[in-house]
Amino acid sequence: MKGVVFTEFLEMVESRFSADMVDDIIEDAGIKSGGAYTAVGSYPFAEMVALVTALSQRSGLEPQALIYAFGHYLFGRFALLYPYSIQGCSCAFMVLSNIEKHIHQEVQKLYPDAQLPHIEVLSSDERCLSLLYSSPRCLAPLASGLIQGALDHFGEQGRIVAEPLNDDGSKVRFVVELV
Amino acid sequence: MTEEEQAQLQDQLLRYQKRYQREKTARKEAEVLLEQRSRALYDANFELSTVAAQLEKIVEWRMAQLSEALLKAEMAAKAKSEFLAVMSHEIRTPLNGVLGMAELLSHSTLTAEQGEQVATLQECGTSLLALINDILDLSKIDAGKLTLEQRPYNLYALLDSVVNLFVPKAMEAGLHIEWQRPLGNAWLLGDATRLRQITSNLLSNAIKFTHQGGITVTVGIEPLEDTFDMKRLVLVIRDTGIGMTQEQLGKVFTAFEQADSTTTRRYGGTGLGLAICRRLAEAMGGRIDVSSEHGVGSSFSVHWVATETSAPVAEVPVPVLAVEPPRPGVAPLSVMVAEDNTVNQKLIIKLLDKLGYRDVLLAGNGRQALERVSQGGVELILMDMQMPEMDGLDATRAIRQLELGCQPHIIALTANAFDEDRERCQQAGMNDFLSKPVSLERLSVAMQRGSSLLSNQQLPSAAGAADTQASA
Repeated sequence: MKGVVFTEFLEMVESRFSADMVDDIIEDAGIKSGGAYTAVGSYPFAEMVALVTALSQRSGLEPQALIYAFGHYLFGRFALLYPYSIQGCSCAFMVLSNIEKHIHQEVQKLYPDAQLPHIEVLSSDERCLSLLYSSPRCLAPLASGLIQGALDHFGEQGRIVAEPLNDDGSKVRFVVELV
Repeated sequence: MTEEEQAQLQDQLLRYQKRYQREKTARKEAEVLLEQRSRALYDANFELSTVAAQLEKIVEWRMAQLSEALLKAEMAAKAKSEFLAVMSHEIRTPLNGVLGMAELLSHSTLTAEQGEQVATLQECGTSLLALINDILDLSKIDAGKLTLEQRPYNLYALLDSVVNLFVPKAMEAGLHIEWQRPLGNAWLLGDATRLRQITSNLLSNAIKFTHQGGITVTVGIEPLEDTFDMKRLVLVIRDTGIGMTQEQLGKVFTAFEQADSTTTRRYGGTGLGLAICRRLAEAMGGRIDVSSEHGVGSSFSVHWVATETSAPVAEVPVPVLAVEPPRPGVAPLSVMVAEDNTVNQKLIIKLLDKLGYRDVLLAGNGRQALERVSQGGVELILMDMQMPEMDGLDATRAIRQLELGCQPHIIALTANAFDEDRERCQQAGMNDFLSKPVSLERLSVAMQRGSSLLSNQQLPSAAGAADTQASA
């Protein structure tokens, strides 16, 4: 997993909880890197799982809820760090429809070895957008948070329904309906 | 400070130390990664520039190969046209002999059967000559050596003369030619000779392939939109002949292809005419279309664009030299024939004899001609272009350098058919040009032209020669 996800995660923990919480979950997780992440590096996905688990235990919050919150936080950060990725988009649907051909293309320029989820637009109209999420990392809650982050970014109100298409959650259908 | 406070402070210090260590490790790792990236970037750049240099070399090599291939192709094309020019000469020289002798023979006393045989001989020779001319024409066009003139001509007058030329032939075949001539004139810029060639060919074909009914010739002229003086022209030659099937139509413009291979047996011809017409039309920036219905007739239309021009102002009228019948014994000229081929020597002398020019001087090559001319008294020379030792062009140039009381009138006599030869002759200082085989008629016209030019000049030696002849 790309280092930028780890650094952003730890920054979220620091801002939402505390710097001490960061120290604690790194300690708890007992990870090999010792939590010395750099955005341009790559680290095992298992370390992220261990960090989230440790945070869940410390905070008493569900891992799924934490991942969702991280997704929401991440969209705002991405919008800030990589504004050109969403340049020319005037609404959340535009951003979401362009993930595959535009945003992921930008990501590949910075991180040629990044393993990205597959986001396919199943159907779309003015009010409703249907997406298919597929990733072996099964991070649908993260995607859900990102979608909410996009809606909030453009000041839009919407309902997100996630419908797993298999048992492990590696394939999930999202229906986003503007209200 | 209590013990508890001290423990807390200790814990805080430890955390800070760990955070500091974490940040430091992360920074170092980032630096290592950046170095790796920099190196990878450098390698990639280096590889790219190597590839670019290699590509450059490959392009250079390909360019060299291409220019070499181009040079070879150009040389091959040049060799081909040179070969054609030589072959043309080589074929025309003996053909010249055959046709000339046949003509002489036709003027002698013959039985009816012999007369017919000689006529066939002449006909075959003439069509062989036409074929050679066609092949030369085609190869010249293919070699891109065709240069079209841009001179004013009157389209309607041109068509008048071409149609008139074919009227007797059509009548002979029981056909009528309807030429829907618009009133007035249409002065255009272009190559009248080539247009005449196209029209003649299409008309000749129309007559050949029509057994009843007739041929209609129409011409359309309309302004080309968005231009000041450009005209869009279409010349249509429609016949009520045998027509062609769709399949035949497809290959009618291909060289050496006729609509049907049995055509050659039934109708003669080489199948080169239309190929030449099409290429000529294309060289004029136009095209030829054909539509035909089997058993109903064909229609060929020539489309092209030309600039309209005003009638040329008061051209000096060229006196028309009528072909006068040979007048034996009245030739007032001292004539020399410079020709290396003995058959041709014999032929020219016989033809001249028929025209009344006796005591003709002979030179076997250019050097002999030059020597004889420098002694003075030669008024007219029939000069072959290709001769051993000194060719006709060099001899002419040398003669023009001589200080003579009167420069002779020089008529180029050559088996070379190309227009460039005509130009080269002119540049060398020759006055006239006769391409072999020389017919009695054309020789007569050229001789009369030369003789009248010489007498117009009122040159002392020419006048002297005339006096001598008159007093003799």
